[in-house]
Amino acid sequence: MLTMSACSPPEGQGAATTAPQASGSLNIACSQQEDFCQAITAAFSADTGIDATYVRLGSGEVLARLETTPGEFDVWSGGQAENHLIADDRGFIEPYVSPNASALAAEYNDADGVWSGFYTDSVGFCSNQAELDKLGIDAPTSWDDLLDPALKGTVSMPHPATAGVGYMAMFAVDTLNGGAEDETIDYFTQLNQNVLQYSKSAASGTELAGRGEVAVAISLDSDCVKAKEAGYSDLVTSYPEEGTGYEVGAVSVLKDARNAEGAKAYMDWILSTDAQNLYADVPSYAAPTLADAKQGSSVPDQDAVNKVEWNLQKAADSREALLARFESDVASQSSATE
Amino acid sequence: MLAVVLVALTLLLGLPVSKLLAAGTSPAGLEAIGASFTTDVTTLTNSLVLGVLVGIVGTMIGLVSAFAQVFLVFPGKRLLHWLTLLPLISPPFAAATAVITLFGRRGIVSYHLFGLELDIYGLGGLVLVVSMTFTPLAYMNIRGMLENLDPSLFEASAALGSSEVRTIFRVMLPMIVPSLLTSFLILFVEGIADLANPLVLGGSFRVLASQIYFAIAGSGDIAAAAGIALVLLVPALLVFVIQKYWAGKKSVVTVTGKPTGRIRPMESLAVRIPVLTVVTAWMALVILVFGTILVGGFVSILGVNNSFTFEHYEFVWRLGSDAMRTTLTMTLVAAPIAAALAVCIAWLVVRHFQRFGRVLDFVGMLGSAIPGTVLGLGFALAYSQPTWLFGQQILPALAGGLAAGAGSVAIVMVFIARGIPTGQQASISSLKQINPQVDEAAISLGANQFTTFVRISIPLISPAIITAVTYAITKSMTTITAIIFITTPQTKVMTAQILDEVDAGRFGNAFAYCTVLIVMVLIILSITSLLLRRLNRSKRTTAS
Repeated sequence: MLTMSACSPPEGQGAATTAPQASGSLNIACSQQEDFCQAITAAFSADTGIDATYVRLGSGEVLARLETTPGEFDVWSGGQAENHLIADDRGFIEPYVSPNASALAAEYNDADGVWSGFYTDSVGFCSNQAELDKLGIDAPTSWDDLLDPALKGTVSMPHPATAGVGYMAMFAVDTLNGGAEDETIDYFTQLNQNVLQYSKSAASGTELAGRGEVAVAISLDSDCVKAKEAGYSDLVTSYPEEGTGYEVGAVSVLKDARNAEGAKAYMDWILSTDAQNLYADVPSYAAPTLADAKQGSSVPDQDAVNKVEWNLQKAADSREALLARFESDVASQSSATE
Repeated sequence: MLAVVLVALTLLLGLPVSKLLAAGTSPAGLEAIGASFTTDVTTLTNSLVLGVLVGIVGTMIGLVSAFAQVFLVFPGKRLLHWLTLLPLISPPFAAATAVITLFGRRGIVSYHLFGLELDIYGLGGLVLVVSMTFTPLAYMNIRGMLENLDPSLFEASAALGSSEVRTIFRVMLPMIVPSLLTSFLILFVEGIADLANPLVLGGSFRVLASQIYFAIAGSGDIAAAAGIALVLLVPALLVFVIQKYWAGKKSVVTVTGKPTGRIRPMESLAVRIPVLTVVTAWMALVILVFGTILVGGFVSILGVNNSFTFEHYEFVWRLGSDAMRTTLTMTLVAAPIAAALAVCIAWLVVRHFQRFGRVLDFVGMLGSAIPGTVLGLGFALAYSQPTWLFGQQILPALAGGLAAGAGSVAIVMVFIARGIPTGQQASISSLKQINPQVDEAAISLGANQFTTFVRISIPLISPAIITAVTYAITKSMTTITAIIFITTPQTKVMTAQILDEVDAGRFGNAFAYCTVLIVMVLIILSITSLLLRRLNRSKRTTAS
């Protein structure tokens, strides 16, 4: 077998082939649902004449790809802003402030120009009304309601490592606990008794709820509405009254982009009212971040949701520690189904 | 031939694995390894329990199906053959998703038909689904062996007054121990490496494969993932070594070159009734699951809103036609190469290098012993940058959007690496059945080694070659975890698209995708098996 040193390039030569170079096509790492990625990419190409292709990847997958293949993608579209901050901490992002960013509310822009937000939605409880009726309980309206013994083995939560909303739920509870990590872990250890399984992505949880396999799924409110409109008519959305987590879906230009101009053009475009008006037709049930963009009639009203104060930098910084404790203290405990 | 095989194995496995070892033995990797044996040892034991159960259940069903196929006459025999192979073509997630729809807490069969609240989340459901997915491998392997048995042995047993049941237990089973062990090995490894099913219906039953996935896809923590992967590698390799040792001792030569008769069907009811009962139940289950996949593509949401619709197929057509073309092309490139390498390795192992052959065999098997997620990661690590050897660039970057062929080269390489092991095992079992005197006879008649290989060995092991090609095709068309880190914007793969649909909770689209994929594989397999059979026949004619 070859030794490792024999496989490494001689000094100074390894980087040559990955140096930035001009490229006609724009490569997008897209962290939204497939149909949204497709529609938005096609609309971008039609509007700007820039040829563009995407790969749909979850945020964690994007982070891994940036490690293994730097320079592969020009722009990262979608995924929570805190994940873009993590990418920036690892040196993968080229700060860029789009001229269109000034039209956004302050909470949708990074102070240092690392990212801008182009959609938003919140963590909610996605319940199957028929199943709740069978159990004789109402839709949960607080985090503590989820601990109700009546829900034993019939809650679905997305795995916080792979699904952003799983971590959003953790960080929301952590924020409500004033950052006391032990209390947060204690809450999720209790919740573990009621959890059937930790789904890989948030949307598969809403599917389980829609089907009645579980009574309640912790999910994005937009995903819950999407599943309901797709035909799971028993679904209802509720929120924890004491406050919930929310997502700012972000876009950022990646470092060493081969098509940096295209990446910036994409960022300008997705932050334009014309582009955000498209969401209603995709349909995406996440809300556009521009106040004057068209809202779909079924999109959950984000202003009516009580949100916790979301410290993005802290959300990014705490992620690794909270996930590690989730793995070691929560998920490895035997749960209700055993 | 040896040189080609060595270079191929180094590129396909040596380089990615050494990169992985390096990552896995970094401090973070070692920490993850430590945790697997201390704080989180249940995950390791869960994986082992799942692997053993899948190995046993799958091998039993495979044995019964193969037995029925070779030794019984009954209506629906062709149907049984195709139905037994069907789960192999099932793309990941499809069977698990269908099983939830059928047997979940609100399943169509369990709840709506019988009013039961089954709990299929966890070990029970996993054993059912994973065994089902991989039973075809056992079936193909054991069937090849049964077909090669010398019928005169059965005649002798009958002439000496043994019943058919006694003949099965005293003559047949002992002779096919090698292929039973091989099946168990393959299924064990597939069982511990399977990612798709634990993600969909694992419940609280945690396994190493999904932990690796969470480590990478969640945190991008390559070192930890590689560490856990090394833990997973140990039992896989251990079972492999045990199997080699046992099977090596118990192998029996059955193809002697002397004339033999035809296998005569067994007629005793003591054999027919139990075998056909198991086979019927198995077929019913397969029909139910695949019927669900088929129907699920044509209704809005199966079990919730059963109105007929074409929208799923429209979606697949709109978003998937590109992926279909690419996947098909890459498969057609990879499958013949994988099969050829598998046969070459087997031939070198069995006929030429007794001692070194074990190492070769071992390395070839790594393609399936290494969990897909990890192999894919190894490829990403090894080939995202150009490959250097002693200061010379010998290869350009092969993986990722920046690479030659937009990353398709690396994907094809993964397909080949994943496609080799089963064909290799089948070819080795098959070659071991052939008495070396057959080769020696050819050589003493003036044939050189290459001619002997092409004219004698290959026709004799053609069932194994068909297994190799079949498996390489199906594996390429259905593999997901091994390529998830190296798909690129320009190279879309169908299974990755299906994963996205399951992820998004749009099971209808996923079912439609699966149906299209299954139909595509069936068409390719039919054409391949026709071609191979014709080839085989023409060789026999020239030989006679």
